[in-house]
Amino acid sequence: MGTADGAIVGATKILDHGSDTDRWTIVIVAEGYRTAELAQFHNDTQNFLNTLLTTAPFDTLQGAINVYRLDVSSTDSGADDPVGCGGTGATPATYFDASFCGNGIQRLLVVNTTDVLNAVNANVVAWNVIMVLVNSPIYGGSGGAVATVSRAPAANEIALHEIGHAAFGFADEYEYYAGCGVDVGHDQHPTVEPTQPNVTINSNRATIKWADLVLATTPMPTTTNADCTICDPQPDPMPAGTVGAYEGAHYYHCGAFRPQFNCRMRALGFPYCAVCRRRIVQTLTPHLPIKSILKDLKELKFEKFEHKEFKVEKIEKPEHKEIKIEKIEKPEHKEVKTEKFEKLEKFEKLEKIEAREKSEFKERKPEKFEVELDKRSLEGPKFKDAELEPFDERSMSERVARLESSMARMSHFITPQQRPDLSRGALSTDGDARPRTPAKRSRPPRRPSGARPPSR
Amino acid sequence: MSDRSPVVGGEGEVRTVAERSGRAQSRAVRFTIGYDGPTLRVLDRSTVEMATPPSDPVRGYEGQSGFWYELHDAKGGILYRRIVANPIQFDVEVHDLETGSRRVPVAKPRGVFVVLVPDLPDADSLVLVSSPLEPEKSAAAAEALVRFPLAPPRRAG
Repeated sequence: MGTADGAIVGATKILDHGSDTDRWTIVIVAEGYRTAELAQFHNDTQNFLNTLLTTAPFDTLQGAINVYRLDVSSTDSGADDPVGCGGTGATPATYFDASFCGNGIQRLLVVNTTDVLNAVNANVVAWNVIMVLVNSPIYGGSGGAVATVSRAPAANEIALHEIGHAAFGFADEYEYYAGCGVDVGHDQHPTVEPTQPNVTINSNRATIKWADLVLATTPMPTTTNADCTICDPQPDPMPAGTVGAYEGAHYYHCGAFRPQFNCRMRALGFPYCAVCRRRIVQTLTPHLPIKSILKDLKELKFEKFEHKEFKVEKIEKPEHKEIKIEKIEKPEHKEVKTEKFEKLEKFEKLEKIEAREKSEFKERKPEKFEVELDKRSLEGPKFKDAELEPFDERSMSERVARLESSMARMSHFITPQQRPDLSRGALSTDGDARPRTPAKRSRPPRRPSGARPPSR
Repeated sequence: MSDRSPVVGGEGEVRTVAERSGRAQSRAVRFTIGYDGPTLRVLDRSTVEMATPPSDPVRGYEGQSGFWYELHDAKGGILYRRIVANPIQFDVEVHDLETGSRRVPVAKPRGVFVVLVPDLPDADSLVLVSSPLEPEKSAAAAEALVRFPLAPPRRAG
C-alpha cells in the first residue's frame, strides 16, 4: 500500500495569473483516482475551483492566485472505509493511502501527508496551500499540513474552512470543543488573549482588535451568554452581518468573543466573516499583479487597509521620476512617450517601480481614506481611459508598451465626476460589508436553523 | 503593536519587515518539520523562489495564546512572525454533516508540517512559539517551543 499503488502523472497549471514566484499558489492533488478516472478528477478540481473563485473575498483576488492540478493515478478507486467506523470495509490500493476513520472517527479522512508533500515538492516548487481531493462520494475531510477532502459536493466547505486555518491562521469560532452539552471544562475561557485574528477575550469597543469594523450603534458586547455552563441558545439579535463581540468562541461558552454571529470558521456553509475576509485580503494583496492593484484602486475594490499611509506621489507627479529605459524593443513604441518620461534605460528599474508603487498602495489608512481621496482629486492623475488592460507578463516589450500607454493617458488632475465611488468597494455586494443595510442571511443548506452549533 | 520596525534593506534604504516579507521578498526558506509527540525535528529545509505571506506584528502579542513562528536575528530581534493554526495536532477537527464541526483528542500525535519564512540575510534562527500542546491547555499563554538554528539551506527544484 502506498506510492507503489499508482504513479504521478504530472502537474498542470489550471489557473495562471503569472509567475508562481509572485502568486499565491494552490496545488490540488488527486488521490484514489484510477487512470481512467483522472478526467473525473479534472472535473472535480474545476468544481472546487469554481467554488473558491466565487467565494468572497477570493472572488476579488483571483489575480493573486495560481492553481495547479497534480494528476496522480492509483491502482484502485476510492479510500479505505474501515468497518470499525461503520464503513464498508473497502481497502482500495491508492497512492496516498487515503482512509476514513482516522483516529477512529468515521468522517476523518486522512492521507499519508509525507508522501503528499514529496509528490508536490517534486512537481510544483512554489506552493502555498495543498489540497488533496479523494475520489469518494462519502463526506469527509481533515486539516493539517494538507487539507484533505472527499469529492462529496459539500466537502468543498471543509476545504475552505481548513484553508482558513492553514493559510490565514484563523481560530475556530465555535463555542464548544466536543459539542454543546458534551463538554466539561469549557465554560469560561482563560483570561489570555488569543493571537488569532478572529477571536478575542476583549469586548471593549475602543480596543477590540477589530474595533474599526464595529459601528457606533452596535452594542458591545453584542451578545452575552446568560448561562456559561451551556452554549448560548439565543438567536442573532442584530441584523445579519453585524460586526461586534458575540460571546462564545474558541471552544468556550463564555469569556471569548467572535466578530459576527456566524462565520465559516464557526459553522460550515456560512461566508467568512468580515474579520476573516480582511485577513485574507491582507495576505493575498501582496501577491496581486501591480496592474491589477492599479485597476482595483481606480475602481476602489479594496474594503479596508490597516497600514498608515497612502502615498500616490509616483502617480501624482510622474515627472519627478528619474527612471529611464534605454532599450525599446519595438520601434513603434517610441512614439508613445510622455513628456515626463523622456527615455527609458533599464527594464529592471521598471520592475522596481512596480514593486515600490504596490507597496505604497498597500499603506492606505482607512480613517484617512476620504481625506486622501480629496487630495488625490486635487493632485492625482487623470485616467482618460477607464480601462486598464489586465496584467500580462508574456513579454517585457508588451509591458513597456502598456506602461507607456497608461502614462500617456495620465494627467495631473481628475474631475469630481471621476472621483471614486466608495459604495463600489470589493465587498459592496456582501451584506457583511453593509451593516447599516441588513442583508439577507445566508444559511447552510443542511442546517436551516444553522445559527446553532450541534447540541448533544 | 506595529510591524513597521525599520530594517535596513539591501540598497541602504529603510524598509519595514512587512515590506521585506511582502512582494519585495521573493525568496523563501521552506522547512518541513516532523513531530512525534512533543519532539520536533527539521526533516527538510530548502530555499524557494517565491513570496512569503506578510509578517504579522512583531511586537505587542506578549502573553497571548496560539501558535506562530518567528525568524530571529543573532541578537534575538524578531525579523518576521506569522500566525497559523497549530500544526502540531494533539487534537483534530472533525466535520460532520449532521453534527457540525468539533474537536477530538489524538491518541498518538505524530505528523509533519511545513513552515515558510522569508530568506533574510540577517536571519539566525527559526523559533516556533506555541500554547501548551495538550488540548485542555491550548488557550494558555504561548511560549517558545523550539529554536532551530539556521544553516545554509539547499535550493529546491
